[in-house]
Amino acid sequence: MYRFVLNRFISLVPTLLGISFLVFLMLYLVPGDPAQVMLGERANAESLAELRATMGLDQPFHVQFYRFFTGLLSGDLGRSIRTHEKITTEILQRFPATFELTMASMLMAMTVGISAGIWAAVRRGKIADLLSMVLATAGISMPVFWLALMLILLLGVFLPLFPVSGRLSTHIYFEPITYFYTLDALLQSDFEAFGDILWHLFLPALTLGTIPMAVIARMTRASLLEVLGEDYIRTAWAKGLSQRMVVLRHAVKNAFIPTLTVIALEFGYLLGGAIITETIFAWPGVGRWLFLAVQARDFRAVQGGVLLLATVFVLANLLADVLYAWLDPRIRYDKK
Amino acid sequence: MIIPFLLILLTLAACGSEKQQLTTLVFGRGSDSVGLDPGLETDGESFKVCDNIYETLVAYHSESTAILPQLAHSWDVSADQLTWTFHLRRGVHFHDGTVFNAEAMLFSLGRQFYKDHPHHKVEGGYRYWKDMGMDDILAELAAPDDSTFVIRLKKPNAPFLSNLAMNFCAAVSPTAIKKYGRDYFKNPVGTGPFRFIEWRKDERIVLARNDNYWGPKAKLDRLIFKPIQEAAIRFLELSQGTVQGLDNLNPEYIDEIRDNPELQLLTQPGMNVGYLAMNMDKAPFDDLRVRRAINHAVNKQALVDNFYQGLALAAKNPIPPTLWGYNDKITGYAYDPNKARALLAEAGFPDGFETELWAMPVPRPYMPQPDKIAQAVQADLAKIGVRARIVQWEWGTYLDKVSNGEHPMALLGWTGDNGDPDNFLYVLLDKAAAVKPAQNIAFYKSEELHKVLVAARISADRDQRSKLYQQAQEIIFHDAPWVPLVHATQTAAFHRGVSGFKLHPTGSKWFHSTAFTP
Repeated sequence: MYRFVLNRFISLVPTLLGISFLVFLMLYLVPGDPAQVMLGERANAESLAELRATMGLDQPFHVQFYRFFTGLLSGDLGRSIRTHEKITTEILQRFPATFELTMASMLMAMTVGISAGIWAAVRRGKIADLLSMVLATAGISMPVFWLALMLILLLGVFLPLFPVSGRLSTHIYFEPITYFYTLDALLQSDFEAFGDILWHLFLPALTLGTIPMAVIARMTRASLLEVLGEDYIRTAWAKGLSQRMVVLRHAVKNAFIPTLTVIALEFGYLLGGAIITETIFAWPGVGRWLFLAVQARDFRAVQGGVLLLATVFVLANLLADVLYAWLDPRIRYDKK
Repeated sequence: MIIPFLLILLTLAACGSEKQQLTTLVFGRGSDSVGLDPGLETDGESFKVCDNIYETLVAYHSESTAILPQLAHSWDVSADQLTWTFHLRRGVHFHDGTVFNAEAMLFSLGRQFYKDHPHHKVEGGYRYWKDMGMDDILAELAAPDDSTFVIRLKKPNAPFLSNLAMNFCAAVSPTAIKKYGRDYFKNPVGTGPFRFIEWRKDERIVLARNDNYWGPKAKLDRLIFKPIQEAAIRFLELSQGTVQGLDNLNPEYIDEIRDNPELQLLTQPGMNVGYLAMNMDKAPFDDLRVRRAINHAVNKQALVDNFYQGLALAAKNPIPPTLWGYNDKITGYAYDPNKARALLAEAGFPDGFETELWAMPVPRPYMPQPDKIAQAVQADLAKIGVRARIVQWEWGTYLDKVSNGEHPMALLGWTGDNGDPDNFLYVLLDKAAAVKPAQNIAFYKSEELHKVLVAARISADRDQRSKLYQQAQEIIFHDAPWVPLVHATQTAAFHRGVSGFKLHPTGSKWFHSTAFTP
């Protein structure tokens, strides 16, 4: 098991190297001069040349790549051209916002999705099954921006229970330490802030969690139904076990493997910063930041950001692989 | 599962929503500031915050671009107009407690001017300093004593005084710059009516009243700038009262704001112009009759009505009417397709001709929907037989190509910087600006206009300058290098209880006299 995990970790290195090269190459080849975009209507020959020189854009490809790569190895992604800020600082301040949102939405998606899936499978063909699957299909097909606006209309306007933007009320002040606000508030035993943070988290998390929730529900139902048809389950029934024992102890564990894949993938996607949700709810996460960086041709920020997201995605997949191996020993292929 | 979670949340939230005691104004906007070092920034969202933290030697009048004293209580100009002596206000302190004096002013401007200044080297350079041509205007800076600051010029330059009122010439605390170095942009220290408290990127910038301010103190305890990207959400927050002010409103909300007794709407013609430039280096636009025909063909009022929801002014001059020196006697080219066709026939194009109309790929403050404007202009031109194909490039490429004159006709625009007509006319239409890569993308090279613009630049007499600029507008009207299209209106909305805020032609947002009146 340890060797399996170690091997998977080692295989990350070439993957990430490849990604960093690709990211660099793509930004190098993309049309449009970053200096020109940054200076806009005010660009003139002198200011263009000067900006290109300070950004190192006047250097040949291999020099630019060498600089980027050595910086990367020493953990220095440079400063953002757009915001003068260190890219690592930008990411460290924004990633926690995205992470918190992702965790909250996945928590909702998993609890509701898995329970609904199990419920539907157990009551296959009955009203409950039909209802939860209709809801799940609706959840999958709903565009995020529409869902976000409907939730805002419902729970922010008609029934004004929740705030519609930001992570914190404007009258709440506390010192951010890790930028994981829930954690920071708890560390400082500031329960007023903690409540305020959760309160702000609810609508965006529900918006972001709806699609994974629906996917998880459908996946859980499908795989549970398959498992419930297997011989060993029939044996379990024959032994006279209660429904609770059969479903929860015998079936769910095996049915969970495909669901886990979905969860890990969704997790990876969500950590990439859900640009639409972040934009609508004015959530200061990485997605929105990266979007602005791309628009401004802030290539250093884009390189750093994409690399981070790729790493997170690869790590989420790795975690899923490890969990698989743990749940299903047959997957540890490296073991003889 | 969700219900108990909801209940916990609501209980927690109920504990949290105690009444706030500080008078706080939350101002909503479309995006966050880039940085708060006035020398480095170039975007409006940064200046909006800097406006309240920093001050300059001279300042704009609260409702016009006339120049008034600020950190300098008075100034003298030598007879040759080359030496400007500013007498500084005493007893002014930076927010970090250090004293503001001539040395501090020398540092603030000197770091941008002197190549050997220890704080001169910054990535990207001090862009506004360069864009406003300060290196070509200034010869020397000096601080002979604590309350005297002297600027010597290379040659007489009248618009220079307006430049001094701009954010990039603000006094910054030398102590703070030395302390924070490259991180000064997020630790700003000025002398203004508000001091900086905190900045959470993309979340909020919090300012507090400067209780040691030298002038009348601000009325608000706290001023918070909150970025909310979605226009609909921004407007929702304003209607719900979680945000008390907004700017750059979406035209679709204007009627709703007007109808809502809880809200007040402020509007003012903006200091900008959106235009259609005809490349005079290329046939047939080298023919005056063709350029005039195009001018008569475009229905500007329809553009204003359809794509700005009335929040713009059809333009007849390159400068907006909020600027001094605006020539209102000019009639402009009326929308008249028949006259346009006649002019084309006279020029030898009775059946019109084929050409290209270039359009920006991105919304700009002066033209939020350039692609739709291009289509409308295309349709107008088709009526006089000019068959224009719309061409778009990625934004950087677009600017690059138009500045090199690859276009026959192109849409573009300008937002004024310092409130001086020179900043529109010389920058965009003088022959000196028609050298590639050019900002004069009509490649309009008029010797007559050049003489007038240079004379206006040198003269220190404001009335005389005003006359010269009026004359310049007549020359431009006659030669018709552009179709001046629109001046987009600037807008802001506040809660009824907010008073004392005024829109400024430069787009500056000053909150020192803003207050809540219950």
